[in-house]
Amino acid sequence: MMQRAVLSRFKKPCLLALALMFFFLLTSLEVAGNTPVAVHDLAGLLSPEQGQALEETAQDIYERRALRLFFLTITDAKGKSSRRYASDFLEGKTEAHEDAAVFLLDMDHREINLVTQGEAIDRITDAKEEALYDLAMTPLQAKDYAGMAQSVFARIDRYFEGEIPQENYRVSEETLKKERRLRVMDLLMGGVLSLFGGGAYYGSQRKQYRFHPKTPRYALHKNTRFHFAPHDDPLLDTKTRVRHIPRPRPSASGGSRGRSTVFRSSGGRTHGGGKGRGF
Amino acid sequence: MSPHSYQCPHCGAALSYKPGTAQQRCDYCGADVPLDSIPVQEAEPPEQADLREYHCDNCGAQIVTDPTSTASQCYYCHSPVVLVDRLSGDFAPDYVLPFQIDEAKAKQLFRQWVKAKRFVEPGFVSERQLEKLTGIYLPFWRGHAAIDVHLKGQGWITKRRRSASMEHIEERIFGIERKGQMEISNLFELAYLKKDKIDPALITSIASYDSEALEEFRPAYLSGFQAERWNLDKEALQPALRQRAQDYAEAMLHDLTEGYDRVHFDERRVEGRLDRMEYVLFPAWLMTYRHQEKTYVFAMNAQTGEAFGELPMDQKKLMSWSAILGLIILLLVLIGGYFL
Repeated sequence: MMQRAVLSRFKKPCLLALALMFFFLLTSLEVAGNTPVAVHDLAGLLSPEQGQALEETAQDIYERRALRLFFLTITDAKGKSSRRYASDFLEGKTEAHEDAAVFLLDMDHREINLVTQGEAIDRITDAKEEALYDLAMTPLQAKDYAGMAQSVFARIDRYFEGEIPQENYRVSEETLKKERRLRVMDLLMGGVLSLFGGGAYYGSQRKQYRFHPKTPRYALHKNTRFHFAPHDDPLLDTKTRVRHIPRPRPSASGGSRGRSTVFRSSGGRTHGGGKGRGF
Repeated sequence: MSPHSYQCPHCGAALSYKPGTAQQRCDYCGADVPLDSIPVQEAEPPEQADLREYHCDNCGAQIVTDPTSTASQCYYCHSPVVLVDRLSGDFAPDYVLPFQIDEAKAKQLFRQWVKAKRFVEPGFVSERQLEKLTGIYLPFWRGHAAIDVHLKGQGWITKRRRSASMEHIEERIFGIERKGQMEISNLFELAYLKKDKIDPALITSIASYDSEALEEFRPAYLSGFQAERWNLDKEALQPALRQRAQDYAEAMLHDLTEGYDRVHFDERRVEGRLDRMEYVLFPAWLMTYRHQEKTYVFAMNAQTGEAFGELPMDQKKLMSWSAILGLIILLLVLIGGYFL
């Protein structure tokens, strides 16, 4: 009787401790991997093996690029648009400063959608996004969802090779104008130019204030007198030569090589040729 | 022994040379006294003069000068004095170029010279500093050289004439012989070296004097100014003068073969010697300024007004301006980067 009382007394704390241990175990598994699970197949479109392979691909990319890639499949968008669902998902899984992208296969809206973040925005331009959709369409139509995700991940991995092209820029969707922002390059260039400009001004002024020695002017002709006997130089010899002057060759190339002169017809179209030749 | 102080025949006050004229001026009664009316005092041998102690004949105070000074002023009564006995023998100048620019004009030119320089230390252009502007006669040696020239060779004159696609080239060759002498005069060298005080390059830079304005020396020209006598003797400067004469003669050789397109000499002899050397005094306005443990010297040609010297800078002001400029550039680049 007494034993039962003791047991019931410790039952609640023990269960609580076990629950806590289980919770910590679960969370620590995610922390140990240092990356959240990449594949969230809520629509159940992948086999466990396919999910595992995709997970390994994402982990490999993360280790090399510090880029978090997610593949998300859903059947219910919970009233959200695909883009909204994907961006909410990404914000839930990553920090704002992280470079990340989620590729969503939305069976609810029957839509694929790629949402990017951080450096991925600059690397995956609108054109590249379209190229990724193009890439995804063929396996998608063949219902090879794993193959589609693998191809998309591999292509994104390639987009992260090398530096971000200088000509890449951001455009605000609301204003459709180029997004104005300062880049590190602007700061560096500004710093270097300001140092150079300020330094050059300082140096030039210092130079101006220094003493620059000058050789005094000397009027050589005015101060020179000649005492020479008059001379009459005898002619010793005369030689005459005749030289043929080569004609300048007509310029074969000039600056007009490859040029086509065009004119506009009355109909407004552009044409070439039409010079004619008289005879 | 008293130094010579030229006195006004009207009031007895000390006279100073009036720049740009042949007169002396009395600063007390305003009288202008022609130089010709002032008797020149007999001078004594310089060996004795160097050892002498001088006293102002106006107030009797001792006159303290450098051993090379030949004109100064009394530190007590400010009377101009000329140490005429230091201007005798080897130290008697042959010619002097009298001051053409007076003190007021020199100050005006100095202000103009500095005006465009916004970073000059303010103390350098203060009225107090300008009081230190000193008119001084500086000693130079004037050399006259004779260069014997003998050239023998050929000269070419080429004429070209074109007709259609042909060019006719006629080349006439002449025998050339030139034998004679070039006289090169008015070669000047600074005869004064005070390394610790004035950079010789600075004095040499202002020495573009017009020798046509030289006058026969009269001590009265020195009155009211400082004057130095030579401490580099003519023998020491002869090689430099001879070399300059030789260089100038070489540069003038083409005048002897004018009209030829090309010449070649089989024999070529250009040899020079210094004919004579004269001792002349040239006028300058000098000013020194001490700033941050450094002495800055300003020098002006007192005939032409040409000025030289290193200017003391207001470093803080310059650094502020440079920093502002740097910030403006930074701002412009950032604005450009933001909008483009």
